[in-house]
Amino acid sequence: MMKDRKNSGLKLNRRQLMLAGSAAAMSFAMPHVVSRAYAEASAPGNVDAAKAEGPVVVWHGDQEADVVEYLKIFTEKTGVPAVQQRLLPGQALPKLEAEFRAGQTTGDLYLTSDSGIMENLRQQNRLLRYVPADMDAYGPEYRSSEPGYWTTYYVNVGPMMYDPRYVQESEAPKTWTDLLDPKWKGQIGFQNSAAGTSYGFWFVLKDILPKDYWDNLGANNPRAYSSSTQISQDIERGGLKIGGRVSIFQYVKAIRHKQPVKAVFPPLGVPSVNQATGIFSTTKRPNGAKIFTNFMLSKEGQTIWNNIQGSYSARKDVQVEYLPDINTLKLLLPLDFKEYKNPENRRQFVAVWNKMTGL
Amino acid sequence: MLATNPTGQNGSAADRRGTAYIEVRNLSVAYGSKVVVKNISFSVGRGEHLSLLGPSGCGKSTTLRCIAGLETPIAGEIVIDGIPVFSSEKRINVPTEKRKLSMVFQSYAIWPHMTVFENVAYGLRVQRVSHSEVKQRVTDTLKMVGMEDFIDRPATDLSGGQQQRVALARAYASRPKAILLDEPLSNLDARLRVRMREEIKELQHKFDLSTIYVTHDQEEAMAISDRIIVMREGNIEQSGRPLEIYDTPRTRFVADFIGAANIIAGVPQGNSAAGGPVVKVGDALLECAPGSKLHAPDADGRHLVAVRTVYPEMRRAGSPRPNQWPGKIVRRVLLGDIVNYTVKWAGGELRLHAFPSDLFGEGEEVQIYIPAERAIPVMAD
Amino acid sequence: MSAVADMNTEKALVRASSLNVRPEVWVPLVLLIGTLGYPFFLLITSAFNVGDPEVFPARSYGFANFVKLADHLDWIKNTLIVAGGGTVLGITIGVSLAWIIHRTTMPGRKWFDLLIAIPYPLGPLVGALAWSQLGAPRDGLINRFFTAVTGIQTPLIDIYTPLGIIFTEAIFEAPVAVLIIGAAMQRMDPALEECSAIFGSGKLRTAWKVTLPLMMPAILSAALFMFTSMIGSFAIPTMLGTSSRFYVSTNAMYVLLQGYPPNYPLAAALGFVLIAMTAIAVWLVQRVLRGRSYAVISGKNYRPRQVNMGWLTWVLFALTILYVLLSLILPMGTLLLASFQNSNAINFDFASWTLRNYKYVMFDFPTTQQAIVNSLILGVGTGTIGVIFATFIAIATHRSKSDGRRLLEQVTMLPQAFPRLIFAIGFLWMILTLPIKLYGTLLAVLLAYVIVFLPLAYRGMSGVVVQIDKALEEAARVSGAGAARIARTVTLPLLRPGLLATWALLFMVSVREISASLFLSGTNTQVLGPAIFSFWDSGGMPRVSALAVVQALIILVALTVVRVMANRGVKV
Repeated sequence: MMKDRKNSGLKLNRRQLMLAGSAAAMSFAMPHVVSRAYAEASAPGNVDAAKAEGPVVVWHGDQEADVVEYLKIFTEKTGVPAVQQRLLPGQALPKLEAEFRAGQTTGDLYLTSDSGIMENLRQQNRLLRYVPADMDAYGPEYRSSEPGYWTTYYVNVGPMMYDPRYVQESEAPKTWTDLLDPKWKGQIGFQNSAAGTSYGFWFVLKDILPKDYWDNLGANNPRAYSSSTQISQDIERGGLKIGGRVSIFQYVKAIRHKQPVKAVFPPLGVPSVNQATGIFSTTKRPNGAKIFTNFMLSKEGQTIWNNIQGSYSARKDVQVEYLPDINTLKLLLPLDFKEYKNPENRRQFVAVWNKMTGL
Repeated sequence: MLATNPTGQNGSAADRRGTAYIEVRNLSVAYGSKVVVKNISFSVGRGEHLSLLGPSGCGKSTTLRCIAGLETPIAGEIVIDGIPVFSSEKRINVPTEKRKLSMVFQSYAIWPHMTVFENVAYGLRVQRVSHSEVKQRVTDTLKMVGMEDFIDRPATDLSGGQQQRVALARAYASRPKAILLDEPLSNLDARLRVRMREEIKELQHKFDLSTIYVTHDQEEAMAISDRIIVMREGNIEQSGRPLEIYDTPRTRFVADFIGAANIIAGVPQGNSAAGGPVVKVGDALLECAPGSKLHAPDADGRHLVAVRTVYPEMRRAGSPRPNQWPGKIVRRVLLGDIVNYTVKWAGGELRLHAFPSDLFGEGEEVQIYIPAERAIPVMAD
Repeated sequence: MSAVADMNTEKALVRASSLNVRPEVWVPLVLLIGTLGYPFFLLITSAFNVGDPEVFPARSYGFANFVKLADHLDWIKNTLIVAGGGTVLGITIGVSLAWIIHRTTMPGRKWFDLLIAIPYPLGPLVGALAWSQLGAPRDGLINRFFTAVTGIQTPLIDIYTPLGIIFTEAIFEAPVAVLIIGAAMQRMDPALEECSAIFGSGKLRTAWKVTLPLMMPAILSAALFMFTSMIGSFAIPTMLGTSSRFYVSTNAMYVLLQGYPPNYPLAAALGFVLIAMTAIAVWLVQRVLRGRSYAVISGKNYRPRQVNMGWLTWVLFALTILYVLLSLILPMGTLLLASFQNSNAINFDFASWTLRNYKYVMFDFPTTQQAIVNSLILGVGTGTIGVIFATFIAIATHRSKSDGRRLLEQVTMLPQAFPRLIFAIGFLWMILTLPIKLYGTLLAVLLAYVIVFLPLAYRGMSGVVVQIDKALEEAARVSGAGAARIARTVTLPLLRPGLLATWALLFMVSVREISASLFLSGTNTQVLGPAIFSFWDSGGMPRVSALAVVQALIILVALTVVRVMANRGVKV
């Protein structure tokens, strides 16, 4: 001890030398390591291996019929079989917990409206990184910060909606504040607090609208539905006058059904969420999952999927009939993922939203 | 005990075979903490017909079911044909199905989902008797009970009496070591009961099996038994041949239960010339059976004497003598075959059964005579 | 008796009163306590969990969740309103129908007996779906008809109200009351009513003052069954109440659990309160029924006295028809209509009707196809295992000489105190923590079904076992048969009609079940109830209606087969 200290100033400490040496070595190797990881993550899935793996299992919260239709086409085009299961987060998460603990997941892919959940999964190292061929077609706001963990497979834009048979166009709300008009009391519908899109709605608007907006909206007795399909149905049947927020594809589907519905995109901004797709790290079918992701994010896949559903792609080169030009809209996307994932925000949201909808 | 043993009962059969076939020693049975059979002992001889007689709740059915093995006593021993089937000390408890007995239940227990044939053949099939012999035995026993025409009918076709006959046939067909009958006739109407009683007696003659018969009907017990055990609240009140019990009841309960009796309470007044005790009842002096002794007095300090209603004699006139007093007929009820008289006498009121051949009228003055040997001192409760 | 003999008996008494629990009692007891107790334990630990909601078992405990519940007392209040109101209405319907069918001379009684039994196995899910299309204030068929006929614009009824929920609950649970009360009415000694008549009481007065009070035990028993069932009812409040801001405990719990992160502790606390309410109800009814001598039902078979109500008979007839209309004809008709539609609104343009929806749900859409198959498998499995298990327990409780029989019976009936939705959640947590890979399998759903329906199965089999004269088995024993032979040749043949009826009942209730399987069914284990529900969420009315009709058909087929077999005289 005493001896060492006396000597430390004179000679280079062996330990320090080794550290310096390895640091130097690393600084040469790092980009190589990084790019190797990137390269591995970009390795596409093998079709034959995928077929041998068995049907790839897709967990989602979308319209089951749409997903089934899409999967049929996907299988036709790629030869890889696929099955789907519709699971809202409340059902999906306990399953995931148990399966991760067991080290095996029955699901291979997760498609969710809550990119916050995806981010959490990424942090827990539960997502397999796969960078599809078309990664560059997606802007940074439409994917995980390190690309390849999750990507937006459609943008769930949330306008207001009404049916002019029951609501005069002149009277219809044009902005979010118009919803506070007492003439809409009991006639505004939202999805309940379990929906990722509801959280997104609140998250992006809470800092833009006045603090008491939510209480005031609550005074108008808005009704909570478990899906936007129901909101759309109720509007069609005349049981609900205004959809406070519907998913854009409800609007498109209604029009395709020859319903005279109108969507309202307030100039202040239209809350939107990234519907994200990611692969579970413990997937038993990595090849199938990669092929699925690749196809889903390709121009062909995006065109097919968004046309089936009636939604916006994150890619600029995909068009869908009846959708207003995305460039004319002001989309409000949650960008601060740290805040978005913050459980405190979520708790606050649940409390506010439940109170607002009378739960 | 009376020395004479009137014929007509199966007493002679029991005399012939003196060995106990079924022995019950110190049997106690409890339901939870309630003791319902209190340390009783008795035996049944080979070919003997024993009845357990008593009011409901006296423990007679329980005792029978213990012998069958359907209930488990808390103490005692049961031996059948020399083999202990239950012993609380030696921890022996042979299961019911191995005791080789037969039982006839109060509800007949005829299996409704089988035919008459299958009902009777059941036990034989368990014993793996050959098919031809099964057929033979079933047909024979059904013939014996007069049910051979019903042999292939479903059991649900049968009336109560018919079911009872099939139950009997079933009991005898399996050639058991002994037969137990648990109030087999109580669910039948009166006429049928009498007829079935006769049939049972005949069958018993034919098969010569040890029989234990449980009933609350004293007439039934009297008619068919070699020996009767009167039970009450888990204890044996008296055991003996039917006429014995009838003529010389030991307790007030037995006197009351079997036949009809007058229970006369009096104060001791020494002995009679014939050598029997004398009691003073009201103003009258009653001489009791010679050789008998008064039992302990009841709660009121009086001694009880039983006089069967059929034994007092009623005359229109008579010279005074011991055990004869004037009386007045207070009430008369014509029951058809018998006439019921209530007579007021020096000792109170006496009930009399007589025949309608010589009718007395209400309010008539008569002479009542009680033969001394018919005045039996009995134990109070 | 000698003093020595007395002492010996005393000693023997002491020896005999030692505890003797035989395997036929303790094995099922242990199994049941395990499969009920463990989920319950998990629920309790979650309810008191004030730390991280997703940690099992919880690490920090407190009453915070219950305090939070105090902010939401309206959930509990609404639950009681729905369950209480529904029970009152349901019992009124049940008593009236039972009396009309079993005690009057109204024509067509036998047919009505059959028709009235159908709504129950069809189920509240189908009922809610149908009534949402019948009673929606704007485009419900009834309101459209009313407006078309009278020209009045305001709707006649609004099913999306607490009253609407109570109504729907009542008419779909009433058949159970009719069954329970009807059975008691049939066994009643007619002399009791005749006596009233002799003393000058008119028929209605006799019915009110004599028959009704004597039926109290059966009525209370049916009321308890209904009440506990309605407390845990999920489908009707969710489909008819949620979108109109009316929350009872079950649909509130559903939202709490669907979100991210799922609020397990609050949901568990709520579930705990529901269980407590149910337990109190059970205890209250037992107390009232205990010690009352209702010597109307004896072993004798009475021919019940049929009362001719004269001109009132036609009023009763109309009332009965009204019930069948509301509970069976209108709902099934509406679903049929909706299933033929191309769009969400029902129109009567025959040309536009299509069978496409049926093709879709039965052949094109793998999820529903699978759900149909799985539900059939599950129905058969639940029926078979449930009946075997229940029979075993019934025989053990009624025939065994072991101690602990009453405890076994009470534990067997315990699942009815757990609203099925909550039990399923606890059950899910239990299998998540078990080392066996049960999670996500159809077997897990099967086990959950067997447990939640055990009280029903036991009630059925126990009723049959009790009716078998013990002497029938004793006679077989005395004839030399061992236990196995007795079971085979005597007990089981006599139980057969009961076995069949119970099996069928289990089949039907498991096919229509949703609460117990909502959280348990998964990718390969879709079953009809949750599938219909999820379809309702996202699939469009025509297709949901088609699926509901398919489910109803399965149940109707099962019901018919059982009736036919019963009528063809399965030997008693």
